[in-house]
Formats: sequence, structure tokens, C-alpha cells
Amino acid sequence: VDTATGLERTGNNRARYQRLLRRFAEQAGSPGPEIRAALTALDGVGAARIAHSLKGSAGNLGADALAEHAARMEAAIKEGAITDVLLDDLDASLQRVVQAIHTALPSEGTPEGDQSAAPADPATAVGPLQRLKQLLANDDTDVVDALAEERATLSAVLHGDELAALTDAVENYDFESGLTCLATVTRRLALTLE
Amino acid sequence: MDMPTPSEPNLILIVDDTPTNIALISALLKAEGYRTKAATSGEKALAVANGEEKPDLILLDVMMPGMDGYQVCEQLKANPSTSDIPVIFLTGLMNPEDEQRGFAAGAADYVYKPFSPAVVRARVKIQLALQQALRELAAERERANGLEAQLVAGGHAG
Repeated sequence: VDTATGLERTGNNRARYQRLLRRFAEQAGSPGPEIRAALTALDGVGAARIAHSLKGSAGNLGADALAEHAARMEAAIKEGAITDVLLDDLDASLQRVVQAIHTALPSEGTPEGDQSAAPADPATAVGPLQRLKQLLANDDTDVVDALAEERATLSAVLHGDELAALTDAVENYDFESGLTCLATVTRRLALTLE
Repeated sequence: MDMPTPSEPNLILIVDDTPTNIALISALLKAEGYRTKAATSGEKALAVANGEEKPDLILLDVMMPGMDGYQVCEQLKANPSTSDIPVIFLTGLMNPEDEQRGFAAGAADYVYKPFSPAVVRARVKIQLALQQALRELAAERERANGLEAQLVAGGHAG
């Protein structure tokens, strides 16, 4: 992974770049079987989109060899020239990148709350939840950093699965799902947000 | 289009179905002092662009499931309330036909993925400066029309 270039693409925000690499590794999946499944379902457009999306995100993160594999795959799908070797090469290339990320950046642990400690007063979460709600309602990308900043407070109040769902929605820029998560949490905690 | 106040940085809408791309581009633009919103689909992009605070610029992915970038751009340009928002296409498609199609749909410019930070910064800056110049020109024209109307009214009165 060309980390210098990838880092530059985040405006040299090291924490954000590391977070993106971790997330890429976590969500990597297996494009080979997914492309095979799409082609079996005669969904050539869908198959090409899987390769295209991987090409873009890998290239932008600095995983140049993987991006090249994905580009070859995309071209092969469009030309109807898919081979098992190409599919296997793509998966192998992705796994090398995932392994390199796992090695360089050990996991930060799950985003679950601290279940061993006594839950904090739910009122302490009102401010952070209010902040997140406002950003989500405005489709504002600052919500990703805001959640990272408020994580410690929220993890003392939210259940692990609630924080995981909220994190997933926020990091996928799925603002509607994020707002739904907040509504569920505030209802359970009997909190009122403006 | 809303005019940003002097203390309010330009607002840029990033449209891409791949969250990693949104995260990278928003980080880059925020480092330059811009504000950023995101949409992961064409339909959502249109909703945000038609929202209370209109973006000053849209970075729009071409290849998305559902409504693609070309369709989104065409709808933006067909709507008077969003037609003057400059659109820069984000694409991994690098051939003249695709480029031509984008410009025909109303694109102001192109950025190719994987993107070069310097190119993104430069193209965004150019489009925003151009947009600002057009706004100033429109305001000046409006002022001149107002003066002309006053002169005509004065002439009639005299």
C-alpha cells in the first residue's frame, strides 16, 4: 500500500487514513465469489460495479496493485473474458492488502460499550447525541469525526449493538439509518433531543 | 443559490456510492477549509441539492447503482433552483465518449479516480472562483438594470 499517497489524499490526516484502512480491511469481503454470483445471475452491470467500486476505493487508499487487478477484472467483465484465474488473483490481491493492513494497524477493538462498568447516567449522553442528530439531519460529513470524539461518552451509556449500528450508519454516510439509531437509543433511555 | 457569508466557508456536496471515497475527498476538502455534505445515491443527492442550504459545488460520481451521475446532472441542470451549481464528475471511466456524455449532461469539469489531491484542490478552487465571478456579474447586471429603470422613470417624470 502506497501510504504516502493515500495519506496525502486525506489532507494528511493520519488518524482518518488509519481509520479508513481499518474499515476497508474489515469490510473487504470476497469480490471473486460476489462477481461470480452476479455473473451467474446474468447481472453483468452489477458484476462490473463490484470491480469498479473496488478499483476506486483501493486506488484512492493507495492500494495500487489491487486497484490494477480490479481494473483488469472490470475490463474483462465488460469484454466477457472472465476467467477463474482472474477471479482468484483478485481475491488473493485483496487478501494481501487486508493482511498488510491488519499487520500494520492492529485492531482498535470492537466499538462496544464497557459492559463491565456500571452504566453512566444517560443524561451525560444528551449533548453528544444532540450533536450527532444535528449533523446527521444536515447530511454533514463532520458526523464521522464527531462520533469518534464522542465515542467514550456514548460507550458508557449505549449498548454495544446500539453503538455498533450507529457507527456502521455513520461511517457509511447512511444518515437516515443513523437518525433511526438515535431515535431508538433516545426512546430506550427516555431522553429528549431537540 | 445561497450566498455564503464571509465567515461561512463554501459548502461542497460529495456524491459517491463508495463511503471510502467520500471519506477521503471530504477529508481533503475539509483540510482546505471547505464544509462538506455527502450523499451515497443519486436520489439522495437531488434531495440534498434541493434542500434548505444549497451546495456551492457538487462532486458527483458517474457510476452508481440506481440513478447514475449523468442522470443526476441532467436533473440538476433542468431545475432552475439547482441549474447554476457547478458539477465536477468523479470517474474511473477514462474515454472521450464518457467525457463527452458528461459535458453534454452539464458537467463543468472532471476528476479521475484514483484522484490526485492537487488536481481536486485546483479544480474545486477554479469552479468556485468562476461561480463567485458569475454571481458578482449577475449582481452588477441587476444593479445596472435598476439604475436604468430609475433613469427611465426619472425621464418620464421630467
